[in-house]
Amino acid sequence: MIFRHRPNIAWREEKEARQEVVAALEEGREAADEGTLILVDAGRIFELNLLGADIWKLCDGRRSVEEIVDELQQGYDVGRRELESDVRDFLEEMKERGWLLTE
Amino acid sequence: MAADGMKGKRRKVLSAPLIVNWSLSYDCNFNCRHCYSRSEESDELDTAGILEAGERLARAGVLFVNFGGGEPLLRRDLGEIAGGLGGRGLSCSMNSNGWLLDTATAAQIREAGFASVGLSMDSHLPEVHDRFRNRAGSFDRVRKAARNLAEEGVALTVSTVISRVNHQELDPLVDLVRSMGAVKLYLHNFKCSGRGFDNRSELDLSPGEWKDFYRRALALAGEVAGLEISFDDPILASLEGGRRDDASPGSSCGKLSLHLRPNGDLTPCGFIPLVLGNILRDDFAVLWRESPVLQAMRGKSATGKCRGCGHYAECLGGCTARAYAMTGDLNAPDPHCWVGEGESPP
Repeated sequence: MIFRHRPNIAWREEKEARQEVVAALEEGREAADEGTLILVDAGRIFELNLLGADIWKLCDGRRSVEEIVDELQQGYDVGRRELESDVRDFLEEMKERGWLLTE
Repeated sequence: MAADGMKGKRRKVLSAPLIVNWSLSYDCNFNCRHCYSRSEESDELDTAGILEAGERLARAGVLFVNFGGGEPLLRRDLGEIAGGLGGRGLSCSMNSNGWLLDTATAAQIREAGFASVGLSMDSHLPEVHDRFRNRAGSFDRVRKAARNLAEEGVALTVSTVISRVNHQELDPLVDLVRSMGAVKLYLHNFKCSGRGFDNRSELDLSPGEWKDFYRRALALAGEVAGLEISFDDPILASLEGGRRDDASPGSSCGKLSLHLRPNGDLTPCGFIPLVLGNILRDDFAVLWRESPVLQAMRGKSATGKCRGCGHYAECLGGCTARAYAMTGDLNAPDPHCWVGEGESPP
């Protein structure tokens, strides 16, 4: 299954926030819940944390779920099974919210 | 980690506003009794200047621009502007009184790629709307404008400024707006700026009346199907169910949004006449991050009756524009706030 962003959903990555979260995590500080990407849907604002943001950015309408997991595996120190489970849960929730479309 | 865990916590200061409310011109073919901008004067950027300003906003990460004013349709280059800004990744919308929105204009709006158009409607009664807007026939023109937009498939929203002329007539207004095919009804709280300041004793509600109005609006928003009713006012924090869980505490101005004047000057919102700098002359990112005015608005402190109030962490003193207009102090309590006005403090 291929996931892509709903065309009229607005989003942007908060680059400074991302840098701060990455730096904090590298130093062993708790920052995994900090928002690094903003989504605006029907006037409401939502934020994704670092992992959610990284998955979101890979939902380009070309990559399969397996390919998304492959790419993430390079940046996250976590077992593949756990990572794939997280990715699938996230994609399902984004689809239910109507923010991701599938092909 | 569950998917739910990937929802991030809100950061205190975003890297840029999400939306810029853009007064392209202060010229208007109406002279409404509440309008903030009738006493405003400003040079206007030409088309190239506007496109350059839009380029800077897009580069900074702004997602939305909403054209207001003044009447945006008085700018003959509006289609070119919206098309150009859309090409830079900005989602454009506008607010209009609808008078000039004929079939040809509606087609141009669609071609320019507007995400939605907001029309002003202040009452379900034609005579009340026309009197408030000082223009006979304006109610009928709004209805025609809505039909023209619908025929072009352009999403319609309706904006109503709440005042003494309509605060007790919300239900029939909602019925009318639904029948017009609008997707959203914005209920704007009254601002004591410009003519709104001059006419405030005649038009503004008392704190208790605001409380009653918002209670009814909250109830209606939960009951009405097929129409989203949107109202955002920081003082709602003291009402049960009054604040959305995704809302930032206090006013969104200077945190999620900014305002552009026709000459490119930036202000926190259209109702606070404090210039932060100019979009074409100054570094936008620096203004956003370091402006003393924005820093003051982001770091408000409780004064007067707000001291010790249990709602302050959520409302941060209410609407900063109203407080500033009435007292000259950004930290003053919102004059619309009902807490402590003839009732027990929280």
